[in-house]
Amino acid sequence: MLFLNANLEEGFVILLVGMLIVFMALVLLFCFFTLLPKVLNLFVKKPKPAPKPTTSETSTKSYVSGEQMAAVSAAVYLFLEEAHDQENAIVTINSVAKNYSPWSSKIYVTHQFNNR
Amino acid sequence: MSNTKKRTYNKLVLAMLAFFITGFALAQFVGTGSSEISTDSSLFQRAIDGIGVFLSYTGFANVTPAHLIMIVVGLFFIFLAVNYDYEPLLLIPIGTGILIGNIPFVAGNQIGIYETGSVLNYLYFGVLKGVYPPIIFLGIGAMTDFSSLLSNPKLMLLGAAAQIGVFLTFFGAIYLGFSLQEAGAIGIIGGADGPTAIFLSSKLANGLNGSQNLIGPIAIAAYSYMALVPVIQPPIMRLLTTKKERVIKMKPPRAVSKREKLIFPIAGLLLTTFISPSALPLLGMLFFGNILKESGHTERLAETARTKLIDIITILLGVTVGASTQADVFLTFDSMKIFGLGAISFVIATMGGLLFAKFMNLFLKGDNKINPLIGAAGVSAVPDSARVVHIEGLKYDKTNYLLMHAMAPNVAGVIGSAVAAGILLSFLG
Repeated sequence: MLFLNANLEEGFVILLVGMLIVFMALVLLFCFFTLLPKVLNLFVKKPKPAPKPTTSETSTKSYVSGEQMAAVSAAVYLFLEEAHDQENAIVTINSVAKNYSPWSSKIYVTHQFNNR
Repeated sequence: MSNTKKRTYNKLVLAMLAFFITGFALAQFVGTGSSEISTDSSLFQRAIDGIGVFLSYTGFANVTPAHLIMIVVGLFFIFLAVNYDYEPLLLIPIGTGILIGNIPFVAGNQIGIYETGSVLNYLYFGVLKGVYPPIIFLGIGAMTDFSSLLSNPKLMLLGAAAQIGVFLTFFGAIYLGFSLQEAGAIGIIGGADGPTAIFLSSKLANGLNGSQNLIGPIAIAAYSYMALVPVIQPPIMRLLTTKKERVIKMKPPRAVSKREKLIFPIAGLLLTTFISPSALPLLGMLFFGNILKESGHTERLAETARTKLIDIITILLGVTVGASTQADVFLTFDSMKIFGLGAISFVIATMGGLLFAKFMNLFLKGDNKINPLIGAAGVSAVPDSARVVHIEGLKYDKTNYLLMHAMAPNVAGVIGSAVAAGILLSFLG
């Protein structure tokens, strides 16, 4: 590259190689994480297929309307909201002890007369 | 503003002006004498000399126009953060740091950030040796949910495409006469990642390896442009996309299993650091933080990393980076060039992401097509650029929520810029 000085030439090489490596690193991550769910699915036990419905009515029974879903969601929400936090059920009783203090002692605020 | 408030405000401004004018006048007329008190003069004269010596040490006597310019810059940062809510967690510490770093003082009393043994110098050690950025990355890892990226891994490529800003700016900086090391540190501004920019500049342009100390200008440029993402990106988005493209609705991301979420940081750590070991301090800590979050057994550690720890480091990093912009070091023609290059790098990075998203759409069909706006989030600047993409998308379709989709290239951008930093470090370090 005759039109570039030495620093620019080196910079150009770093530009090309740098972009290539950044892409390579992220393409590698992309490939890995595209394949990962498929690989993980291989180890997931598939649930046994449900027995076939005996009557044709079952298909209509399994339908859940939007209203029903909303009602169920609201019920679950209310239940979770009302659920109380777990508490340890230990009630701590602090003993109240009044230490003697001369500051409010009655003996010091009453007049002392000589009773001799 | 009510009249009473206006009067109070005016009084305050007048009082401050009076304070500064008196200070300047005293420093000029009394404090310009000798800095020693003569012992053979009268008591009154000695008292006057004493006041003169004191005044010669004040900021009023040592101030230069450069200090005043930097103080205005610091105040402007605080104003931006408070009035416009632009990255306040960064701009307020940095703005205050700029004020601290630009109070004029007499050198040699272990006060300034560049004076060995001063408190600020000790705190600056974390910047100079690149200690703070990896800890920030730990916190980012502990607070980031990578599910959007895992549900649509092809969006990782947008994070790679946006790194063109880093390398083209690097090339541009060499063209403008910076050394290779300095150019590498300047280029990383295009990664739109403050900690990465500080990390790389502390290694390549720290003033110790024959290069200039450019940590301050680079960090300030990186954080300023990150704060200005809502201003810089939208016009470029509109320029490079059609209205039809902006309303593309992407299919909702799939649910990601817990196991996938845990495998991601482990595999990510191994794959990326094997390719670019120089990025280990950043990527290692980023993925470590994410392992803490996703393992499900270290919630306490993850909580600390994403709250208290990152907050402490942000305070120290912000204030020391701000204070490092001491006028005599910061106000140079090179700093102006760095600011110019930084702006260009942000623009190029945004364009790179947007154009690559359009390019990907050439090969994608039906509901697999991606909204090219999310390409702009590949510049990193988490989560601001994703938020900007989301807001821009909503302008054209009120029901098109792009935030979750934009987070994918956004976090990929963090990984991409850290890898880019590692590559530059391995070539130039």
